[in-house]
Amino acid sequence: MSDLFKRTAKYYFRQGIKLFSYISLGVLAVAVMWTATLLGEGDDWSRRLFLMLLEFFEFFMPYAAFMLSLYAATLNDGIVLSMGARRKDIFIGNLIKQGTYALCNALGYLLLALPVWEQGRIKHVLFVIAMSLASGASGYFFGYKVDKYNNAVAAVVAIVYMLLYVLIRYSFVIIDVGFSAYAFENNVVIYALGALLIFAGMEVLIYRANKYSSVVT
Amino acid sequence: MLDNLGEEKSIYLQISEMVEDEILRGILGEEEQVPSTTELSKFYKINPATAAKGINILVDKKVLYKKRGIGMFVQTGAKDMIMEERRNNFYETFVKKIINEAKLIGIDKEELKKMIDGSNGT
Amino acid sequence: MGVLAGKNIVKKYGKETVLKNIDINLETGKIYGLIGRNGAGKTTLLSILTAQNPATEGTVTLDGEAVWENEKALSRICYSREISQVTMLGTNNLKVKEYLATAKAFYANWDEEYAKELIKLFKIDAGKRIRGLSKGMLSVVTIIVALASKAEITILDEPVAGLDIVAREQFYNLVIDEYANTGRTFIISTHIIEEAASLFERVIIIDGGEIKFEENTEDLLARAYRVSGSAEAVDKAVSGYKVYNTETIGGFKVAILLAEEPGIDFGEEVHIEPVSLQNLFYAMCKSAEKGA
Repeated sequence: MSDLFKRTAKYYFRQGIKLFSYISLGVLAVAVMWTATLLGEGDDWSRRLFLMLLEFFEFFMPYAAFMLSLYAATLNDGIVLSMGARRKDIFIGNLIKQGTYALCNALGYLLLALPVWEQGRIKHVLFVIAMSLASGASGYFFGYKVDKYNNAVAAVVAIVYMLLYVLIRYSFVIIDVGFSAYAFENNVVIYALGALLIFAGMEVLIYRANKYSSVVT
Repeated sequence: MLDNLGEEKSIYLQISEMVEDEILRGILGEEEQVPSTTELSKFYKINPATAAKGINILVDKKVLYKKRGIGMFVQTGAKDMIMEERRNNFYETFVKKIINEAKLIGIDKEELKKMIDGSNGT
Repeated sequence: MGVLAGKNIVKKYGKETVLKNIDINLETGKIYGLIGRNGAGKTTLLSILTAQNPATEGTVTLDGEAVWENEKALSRICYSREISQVTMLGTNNLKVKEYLATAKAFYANWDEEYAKELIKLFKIDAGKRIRGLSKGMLSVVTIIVALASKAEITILDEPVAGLDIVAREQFYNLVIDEYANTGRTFIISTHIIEEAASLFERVIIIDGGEIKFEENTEDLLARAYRVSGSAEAVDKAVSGYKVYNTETIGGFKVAILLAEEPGIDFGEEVHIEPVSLQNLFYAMCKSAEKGA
């Protein structure tokens, strides 16, 4: 295996770990504070805490992947490209970074879910992985293109993403007979597979865009 | 940066001339070591290859010789060699200029001779 | 002895042609100066020669092998370029030490000790964020990356921008030192020409996306002349030569020209002086402005 590839892979792996560490700490901190404000007297607080942590984790970790990936192409990859990395190594490097992040999310979710374990949780782990990958890839691709536009577009895309997610995730709130088929809880696996498809699609687009990428000063 | 190097001639020629000047003035004695091209290039802020070119001219002229692994040294008899060469070129390099300038401003031969005599033959 | 060669390089951005059919051969083991006006194409050319930007047409090879996506070639090159403090999506929050750590991860021959020495020498605070650096400090960071990379072919794009005279002198000394000790190839583009001119064994002059000259600096300057005297005498003496610029005051005229050979005798009527690289380039620019 080429030396340059190894160096690039190691770099992106470390980026993935770093990303997970910072974001997860942030998300958990917010989740804990949020839960603290909601607790009332005599609640089974540890159970509610973990459930809340899981909710936050499941939503925010992929969302953070999306937001930060917007910057990744120009900032991160631009620097690495300017230091002699090959484009194909960068492409794989990003896959490693996203994969590492996604797997760490999965592990994190598992750990948090242990105290409140139910049979159905496994599907969520799959969903977290798939969603992290899809979000990271989408964010990366949009960020790559958005570089040509401006902040406003990025903000709009971010909000649209959030709304879609909330809509799907909390669809049980607006359920009636017609909607139940699309309820999140019943179809976690379907949604996960959908996310994986989006991920794959994005990666194809990224691969093509990345082939002739330039360092921009 | 060329602090005291001018634009008049190529830098490498200026380097070789400066080393020759030092030999003439006795600052660099015979069989003494000459600064390395690296030191010269750093001192005058010039490309080391240029400094080397200047030094190599002197090696070709047999003013300097190389002691392998140590550096460049002044050849015995270099001072005399340089003096001879400069004496031969003195007219072209200096005297012609004085004569031309004197002509330009109307100083005749007699006046010029007086000036030379009057400068207590330093 | 190696050669970094660009052949028939064309670069277009949409309808605009930024580089027009460039042929260039850069030999290793030399210090090159790259000079040109803003917008002449210096950065674009350097980006393409280092495969950081794809050419629209043409090839770039190092010792015969294509540089594009080629590990062997890429590992011999370092192109330390201007770091952007802002990108479209926000400011660059990276810290200097993180940037240098990335350099360490990617440059196979990175010399960490040397990098640390340079950080101390230039008195830079490695904990500062890139967005908060002054122009001079940004230049220092690019200099540190370039020098500590210990790359065989090291390219610096306007490395002294924003540096005060002391820092500039330190930089030139470091380059001379490195070159004298290791024989590394340096390609340095700069607007501060005269200070650095004596460092450049060869000079590349680029204008309007074309390479006008790529030549041994002293050879080029040996055939440049500053001819002065009365206007008629000067006009007579310089007829037939490529005159880049003239200036007149009263009846007195000065012409800067480039001939085919050194040591030309223009006659007694005019005064001849040598031309510095900066003045020659300036004259060329004035000439280009007039559309010559």
